Amino acid sequence: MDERARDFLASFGGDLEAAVAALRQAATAPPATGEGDGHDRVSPRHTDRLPARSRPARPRSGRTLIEVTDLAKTYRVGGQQIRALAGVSLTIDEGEFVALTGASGSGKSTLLQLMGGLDKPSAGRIVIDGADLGRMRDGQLSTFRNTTIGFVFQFFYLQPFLQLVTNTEVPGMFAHAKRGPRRQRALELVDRVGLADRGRHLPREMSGGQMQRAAIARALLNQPKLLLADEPTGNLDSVTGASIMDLFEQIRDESGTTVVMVTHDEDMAARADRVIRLRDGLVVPEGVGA
Amino acid sequence: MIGLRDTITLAHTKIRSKRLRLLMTTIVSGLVFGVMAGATVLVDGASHSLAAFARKNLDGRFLVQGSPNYFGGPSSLNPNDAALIAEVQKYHVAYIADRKAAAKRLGVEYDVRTEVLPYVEDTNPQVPPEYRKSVNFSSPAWLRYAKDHPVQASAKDEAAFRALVEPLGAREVYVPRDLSHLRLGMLLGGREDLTQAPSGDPPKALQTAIGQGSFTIVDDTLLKPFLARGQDSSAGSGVPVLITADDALVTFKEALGLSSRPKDPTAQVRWFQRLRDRVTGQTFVSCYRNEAELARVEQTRAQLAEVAANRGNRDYVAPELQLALPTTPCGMVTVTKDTRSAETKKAQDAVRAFEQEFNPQPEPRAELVTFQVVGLLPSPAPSTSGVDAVIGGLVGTNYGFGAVIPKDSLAALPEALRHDSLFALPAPETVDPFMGPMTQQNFIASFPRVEQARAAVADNSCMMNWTPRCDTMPFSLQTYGTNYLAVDDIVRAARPVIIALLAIAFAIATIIIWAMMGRVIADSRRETAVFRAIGAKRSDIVSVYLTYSLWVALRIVVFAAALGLLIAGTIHVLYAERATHMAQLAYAVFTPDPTFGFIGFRSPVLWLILGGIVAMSLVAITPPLLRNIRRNPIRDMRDE
Repeated sequence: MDERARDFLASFGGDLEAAVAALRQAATAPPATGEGDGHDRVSPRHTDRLPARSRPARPRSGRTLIEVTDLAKTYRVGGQQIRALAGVSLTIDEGEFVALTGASGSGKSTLLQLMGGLDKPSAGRIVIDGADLGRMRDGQLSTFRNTTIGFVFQFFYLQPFLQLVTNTEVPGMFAHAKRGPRRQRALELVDRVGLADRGRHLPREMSGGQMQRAAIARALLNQPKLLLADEPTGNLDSVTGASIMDLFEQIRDESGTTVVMVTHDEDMAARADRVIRLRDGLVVPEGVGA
Repeated sequence: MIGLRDTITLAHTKIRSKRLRLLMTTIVSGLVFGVMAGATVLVDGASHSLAAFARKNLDGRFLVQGSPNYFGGPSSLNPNDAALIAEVQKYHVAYIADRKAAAKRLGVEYDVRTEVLPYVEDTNPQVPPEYRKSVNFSSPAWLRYAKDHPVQASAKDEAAFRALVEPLGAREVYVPRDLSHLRLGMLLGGREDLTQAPSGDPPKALQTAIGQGSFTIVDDTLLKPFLARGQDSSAGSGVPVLITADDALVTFKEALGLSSRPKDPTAQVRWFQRLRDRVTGQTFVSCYRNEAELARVEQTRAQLAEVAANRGNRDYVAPELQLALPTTPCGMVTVTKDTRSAETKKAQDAVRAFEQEFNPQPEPRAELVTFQVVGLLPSPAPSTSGVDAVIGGLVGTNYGFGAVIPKDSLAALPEALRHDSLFALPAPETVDPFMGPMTQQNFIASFPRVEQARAAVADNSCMMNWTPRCDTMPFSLQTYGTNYLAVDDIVRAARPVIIALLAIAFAIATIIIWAMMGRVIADSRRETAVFRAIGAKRSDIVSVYLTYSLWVALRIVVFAAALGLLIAGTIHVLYAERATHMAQLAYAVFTPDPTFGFIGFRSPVLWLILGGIVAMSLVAITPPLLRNIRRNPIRDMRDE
């Protein structure tokens, strides 16, 4: 196996079957027809059909950003113990784009929320960027979320009566960022997500895709190392969803931001560097069908 | 923590949501609080206007009158007490012995059975035996006993009054002298009608205060605004007196051709000033007759009636001593015929001497007093409409109940005109079986600040609110002259109602605001969760929502304040001028300043109401907000 093939296989986490399937899909896909140079960029319309490894992955630093060890989470619902996570261990490198997939109730969203410090695990440990979330107090966790993590939600959750630029500024407000630089950065981000002409619009005046782009811009305001996205395309049509995925890739490529995305959409998951599948609260070992 | 400007930005987004609910809450709560605020502004404005007039009226003096308080007293006195009855019985025995000795000495026939017994007996068999016998409080024996056993612990004299009011800030104490016991009767056209012929109602002039002899001597200082200018007392032609405008009109209307009181308050001011100019310097005469002379007049009247009734009766034997009513103004009863024998005269003189020994009476006396009007006291017009009645009640004075003699001006009169011996006559003392000797002397204290006067009255008044402490108060205080605490009195009287209304209004508004805030905060769970997810600390979220709550409260405050101002402003525009004229009349202050206003912002109640809205909003938001920030954000984000 030559070096390119080894790298390619590694990008699928060693999952030969997935790599082969991706190659097959690539082989049957129509030629790229994107604008611009027409070669190294693809139209968002077709992106979702491309295999994850059909485009060059940004070189990763190899530094571990997220380290999850024996993570368990049990909920108590109506007197019954519901085991959402049953001992998950994984690592995610800095600059990696990871998709968490699995059936409904598999624990993927729970894992994302625990990574985001929004909930406390019943057992296990999460270390992000060297910080053990379990040892942080509430205020520290808030600051950590504010500065290190950006959240993107399925339903966007923008402030309905704030203009887009101001919406983007909200995390900066909680970070006590100065207004001038904060506004400048918000304008840049709005431009970056392709909404420069919508800066003064209210969320209700925008489409779902535009709102999600705005939500992504908001998530990026404080230059987080980690972007956590919970079903970011779940409320969008496939074309719009693909454009959002493009945006994630672009962010990861340009800023080196680690992206962890929960999705039940296999096509979207396939756009990630790596897909981590969960089933019954456990990571499905690589090579085992989900 | 999040910066103030950003907090306001985020809070403002909440204001823009749930607009209809917020609008309804603002309107309903604002209406409730607005009415309360309006009433408070009105009361404060009226109260300060009254104080301003009072200040101008008496050069910064606020007068308080103290009346002796006889509410308390020895409750242990039991009229059925056998020991007490036995004790009084001893006094009765001693009294009888004195009477017998005097009768023997004066040669008067004395029948002990004519004496009033020291006790009374109830023969009703249904009354328990121990209650059948009780002390006779009108018996001479009891009066002797009571004199020896005064039951009133503390004196109600000037020293006691000073001891009460001076620590409260009073600068001067005045002692007005009530002369109503003199029963000075005004002579109409220089003549008096002593026949008491039943000819319908007495003339109107005799129904006035001066007609009925209601005079009080008061220090000139307290009457300054009502004294007509340019009056030199020493050059007067009678006892100086200030009479009410109504009395002046009734007394001098025909003689001076005075016009009746106009209805319009503005015209009334001019009418009052003209009336004062016209009646100043006018004189009238009254007659003083002491008890003995009045008894003789009564005796004469009865005798004349008896003679008239027996005219033509040949068997009728006319009285040996025949009397005639006076024929000159304030003259004495005269003897027209005396056919008594020397023996009869001697016997009657002995009986008189005997009675004088036990119940001394002065010699009959009658004295003509000439009064000269030196000023006019206000007498508010009888109000017909509701509003005028309310305003009239506010600006009313209690100068106008009688005629007032300025003390210093009286003293400056030539001795021949002063009637020193007459005006020095003491009022008869009343002895109450339970209270002992009761003087009715009132005192007046002057306070330099209205707050001091208000506090003094509030702490020493049992007119409105009876408390057990009232029993121990030596004096009951109330405003004197001008009614500058009228609003306070009304508020004090209505305090239970006001408190109840305030409580109800606050309860209604609290429920509305509570429900609205609770709902808004509950609806904001997801937003709170999102804020938490993007890095907001709990304190940041608390800041945002507290700012929102303050914002809502501020809207209600502004609405309530605006409504309150509108209510007070409308009443001010409609009635301030009228009230000013009524106050000018009542206080005899005819300068352009002060004017009467119904707008005042100094009441702490107003700020309590407005502050209460803010406090209530903050309290309303706190429980749901604390619940929200304690909730797991995941749970709230999942509920889509």
